[in-house]
Amino acid sequence: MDNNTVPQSVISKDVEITGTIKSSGSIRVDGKLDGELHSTGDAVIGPSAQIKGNIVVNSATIEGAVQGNVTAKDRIEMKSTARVTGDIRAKRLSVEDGVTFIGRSEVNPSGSPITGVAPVVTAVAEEEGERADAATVRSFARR
Amino acid sequence: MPKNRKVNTLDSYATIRAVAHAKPAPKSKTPAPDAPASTDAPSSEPQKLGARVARTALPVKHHIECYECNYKFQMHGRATSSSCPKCRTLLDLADHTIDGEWVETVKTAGTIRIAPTGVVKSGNLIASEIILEGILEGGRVRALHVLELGAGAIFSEKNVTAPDLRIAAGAEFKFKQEVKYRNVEIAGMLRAKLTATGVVTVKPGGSLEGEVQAEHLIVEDGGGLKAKARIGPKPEPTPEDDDQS
Repeated sequence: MDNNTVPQSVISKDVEITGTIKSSGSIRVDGKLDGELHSTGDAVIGPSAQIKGNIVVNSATIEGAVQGNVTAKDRIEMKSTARVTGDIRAKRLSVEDGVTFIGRSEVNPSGSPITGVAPVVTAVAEEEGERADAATVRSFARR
Repeated sequence: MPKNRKVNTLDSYATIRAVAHAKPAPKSKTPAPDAPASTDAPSSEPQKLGARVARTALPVKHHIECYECNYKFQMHGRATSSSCPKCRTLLDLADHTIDGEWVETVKTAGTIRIAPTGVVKSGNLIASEIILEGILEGGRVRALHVLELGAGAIFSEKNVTAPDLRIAAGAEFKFKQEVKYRNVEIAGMLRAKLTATGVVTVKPGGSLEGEVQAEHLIVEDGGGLKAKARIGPKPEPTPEDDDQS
């Protein structure tokens, strides 16, 4: 076997697994998995895959259905056929049009959250009598 | 005030006339024999004979929406004014820039840009696209298509209406109330409880924080999403009374 090629484990379409999968290389799932998936490599969740459980990988490409949290060290890529119900967390995210996603997302490539930014100027467009109720929009200066 | 520019109108007749007057392209000269060969492939392509049109003039289509009756129509070429085919209103198609204090009403089917030095005290601003980079102290802004919020924009949310929202790169906004738009494009940073009926697009370098509910979401590589999301088609009401007896 050529040492340069990374071996890929494949869970084919007609395979159904109940339990935890741990892999040190990249893995592709096209079947059903009722359990967790841990991999230090990359994972591809194929269009026919159905996973009920958490996924912890280096990077994930999701084309199928996932019910669980997805945590990627590097990147999560959600293709147009992806259906994810759960939270996602990664350094980078790519979402195509057509995905179904219900959950929380924690992806901030720049690493500079908005929460710490102090307002520099405030809205001045309150009319008389509506000062307290005005839905003001504030502009923040980029630090 | 609009600039005193020459109006170039390109309609079908002008196009046909341009094609008819187009001169045939000059024959390409054969390269000198001592010239270095640019490509390895032999230049054995047959020379095209006869006249050919070197440049074609295609009229540009402009989608215009009447700011009086909201009738949408197309117009070819460029013009600074036109009339609505439905209500016959004379429409201003020019683009305007406000870079100082402004108190009057402006209606145009083009673009209004409120520059960072612009301060709108009163009056209504109606345009197809409005770029807000200055201060909106009073008056109202209504974009027929897109409202772009640039860095430095100060406004009250109740004074702006638009179907589509665009957050420019470098701009950071926090909406206190829930905002509803059709399409939202985020190249800057937006923190809001956002509901979109169309597409929410997070551009590279952009970031969306808060809550988002939309049927379509696109996060381009490099975009940030730190939000509670509900993306997908609206759930259809399913009959659940089958098993309940």
